Amino acid sequence: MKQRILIGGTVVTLAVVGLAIAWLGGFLPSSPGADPERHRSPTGEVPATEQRPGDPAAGYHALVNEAYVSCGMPHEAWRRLAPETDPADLLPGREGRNAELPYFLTAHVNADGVEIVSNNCLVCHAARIEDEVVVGLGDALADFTGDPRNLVNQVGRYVRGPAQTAAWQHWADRIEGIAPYIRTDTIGMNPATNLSWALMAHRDPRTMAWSDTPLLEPPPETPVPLRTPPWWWMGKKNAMFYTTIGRGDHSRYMLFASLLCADRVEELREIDAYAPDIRAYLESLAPPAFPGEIDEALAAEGRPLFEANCASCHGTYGEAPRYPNRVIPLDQIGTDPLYAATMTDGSLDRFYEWVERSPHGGTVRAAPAAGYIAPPLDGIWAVAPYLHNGSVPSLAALLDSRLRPRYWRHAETREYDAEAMGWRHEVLEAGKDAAAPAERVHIYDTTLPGYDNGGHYFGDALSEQERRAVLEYLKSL
Amino acid sequence: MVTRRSWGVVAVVTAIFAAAVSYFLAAPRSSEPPPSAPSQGSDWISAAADIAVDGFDRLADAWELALPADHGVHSEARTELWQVSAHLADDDGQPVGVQFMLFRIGLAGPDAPPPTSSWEARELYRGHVVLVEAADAAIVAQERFGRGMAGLAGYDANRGELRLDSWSLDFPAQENSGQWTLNTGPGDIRVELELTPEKAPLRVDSDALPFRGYAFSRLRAEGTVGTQEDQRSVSGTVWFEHLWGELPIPGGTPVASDRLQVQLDDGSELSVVRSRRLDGAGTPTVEALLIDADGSVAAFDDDAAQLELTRRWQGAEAAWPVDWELRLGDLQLAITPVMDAQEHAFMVRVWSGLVQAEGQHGDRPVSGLGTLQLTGYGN
Repeated sequence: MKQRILIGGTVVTLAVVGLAIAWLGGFLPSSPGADPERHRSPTGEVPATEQRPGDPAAGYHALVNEAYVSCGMPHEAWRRLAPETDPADLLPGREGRNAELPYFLTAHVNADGVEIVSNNCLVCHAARIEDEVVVGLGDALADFTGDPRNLVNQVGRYVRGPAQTAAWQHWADRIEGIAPYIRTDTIGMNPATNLSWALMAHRDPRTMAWSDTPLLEPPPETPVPLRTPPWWWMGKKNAMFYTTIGRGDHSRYMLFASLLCADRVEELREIDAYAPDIRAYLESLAPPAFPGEIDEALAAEGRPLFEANCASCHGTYGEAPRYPNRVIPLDQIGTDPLYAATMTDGSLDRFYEWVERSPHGGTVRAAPAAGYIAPPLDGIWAVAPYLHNGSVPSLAALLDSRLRPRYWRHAETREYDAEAMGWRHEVLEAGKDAAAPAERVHIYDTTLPGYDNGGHYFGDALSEQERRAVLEYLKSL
Repeated sequence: MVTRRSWGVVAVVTAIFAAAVSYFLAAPRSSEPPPSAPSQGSDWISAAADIAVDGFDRLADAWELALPADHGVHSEARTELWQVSAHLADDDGQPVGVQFMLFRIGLAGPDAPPPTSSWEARELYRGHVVLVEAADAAIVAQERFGRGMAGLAGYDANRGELRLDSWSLDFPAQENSGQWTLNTGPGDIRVELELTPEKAPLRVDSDALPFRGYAFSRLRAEGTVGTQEDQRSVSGTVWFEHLWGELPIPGGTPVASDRLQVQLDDGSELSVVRSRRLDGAGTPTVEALLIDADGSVAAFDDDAAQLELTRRWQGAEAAWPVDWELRLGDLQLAITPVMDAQEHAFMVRVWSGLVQAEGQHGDRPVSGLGTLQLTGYGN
């Protein structure tokens, strides 16, 4: 399983600003939760926020070695269940036990002397292309459709002795708390946002103390379908996530990933010490180069078309690149509204307030906009399937909505289709309802809530030749 | 595909198959422990779990099931079990159950130097047999320990015979022919069964499991039970499992599992493993597997397998959940014990007994007999 831990955190910069203004004005707000607009951002341009500087090399080291997720499976029990590590899953720069673990696991020894193995950020934020681990690529085949409690009990069968048992219980309790909220119904969809809400529901924002019973009303059990975006866009984006909910200090926001296990404010602070380095590493990441031939002449033909039709939202590339950081309102972009709507309808504000009250409150805030940010397109060839919900399997289909399949699934073997620009897929006749239970998790059914593949129709107006040229140009980004 | 990279997911999926096929180790103890028996049963178990931690590697080589050779001991494995669950009826049609289990713990790994004397123990064996006769509400059980020694405990490859003292299970010399013979019994009661496979063996093997093995989910059984003076004919079906590797040791870990095996009269069998945290926290998980009359196998996870414990029976030391209601796809079953008092004070305290199953499979009524093993209840 891959228990995930990303966070949609949130913050309170607005609140802090608001408070200061109120103070200057000679009064205090009567209730810090009174104005929901504190937790919203406008659509349009996202202003830049200064980020704490960091050392990218130190950041990579921390990313693949530090125990920012500090609870997990006793290594001895895990070793019984885990197969040999595939050599292609090893990453350079890992120390000690980590050097022999697959990229998505990190080991550390806890205070009782028990060696623990935990999922790290790369469980979602890295993916294999052929025999190479691409750090930063959201895993299009990450599988969160199972119940993680099965793994908890399987591991538990090999846990021995009081120290191991205590470590296992710590992890098992956390998984029990989040398990109802992190099951997706399609492989490739990521429950991180819901996970973060679930964790906040179980933690006191002041002390970080865990409560087995929720302290806030938990989020809905079904996560909104979301595709993990690549890390190498972070350097350009002024706010994090599709709705730009993550504002302020990005390094703090992303290290809310530690909320699964960090039970004390001090632990959060220790992690925060190297968080700017990790952010600096993410900012330094370059996308993987397109693996096939690029028709340079055709790409050159595509460039002015791209700049005339796409660049006002997605920016320009090459020398002197420009990225406008624009959130497009739902009625303009027309893509599935479920995610942005639920983020901004007030139903999750209690979690945004949690962020505000947390130790990072004041430096980060959760303030989504009612729209989706037009992302940078660096390395866009590798990011399939497309749109925030992964509902469109290829760039060719993204630029020609007539090609978008209503029902589809990834092909059995992962193979890149350089013409359509996406992982090979099969178009299906029917959706999840008509499929055998074991097949359902593989099927992208765009008739289901949150999975709609409409919107972003801008490519439809281009001619076939123009679309081919734009696609060729996109290979070069 | 993702399975290559996210081992956890694989573990879950494969264990649904493999776990359900078998791995639950019932380690019951004798129902009437002699006064000198150690009362700290679970400490003994922990010790047993610790005995052979070193010297054995996780089984990793490619393996193809080869019978009859694989019936025997796999000395490269730290632990190994053979388990027979017999669901029989006497001449009056009254249910009769037999459980026979043999568990081997290796004391020295495959790379250890050869023993310097034949007295040097390399293996420990633990076995038990339980005989339940519904007609007179009788249950007798016995637990034995031994160390591996030719002719006393272990597997004799020439004879194809697995033995612990006077208990033996004889396998046929050829893979697909001949009968197996179980010869066991508690005290002066003998159980003699001739077994004939009715379905091909199911192979248990996965990268994500530290053990492997096979299960015969249906063998035809004919034989007798009773004392020399009072022998009763019995017939029915048997479920046989043989696993080796790093097997979970019940009683030594923070998770306990209940295991249900049922053989239905429509020719299908089902296996259910329900696991839960001993600290009382968490949500129990269910892994279930249904084997059709033609041998095809379907796995069910928590979503598809609905399980309710509908009644507990208060035994001497625990309240055991002995009645189950189960729904697996279009199979719906009520499980009830043929009698409540099937508790055993073996090395680990268990309720391990014969149960009846009644219900519907699609639109057909089905019934059958099964074996239910419960551990980790009580203090």
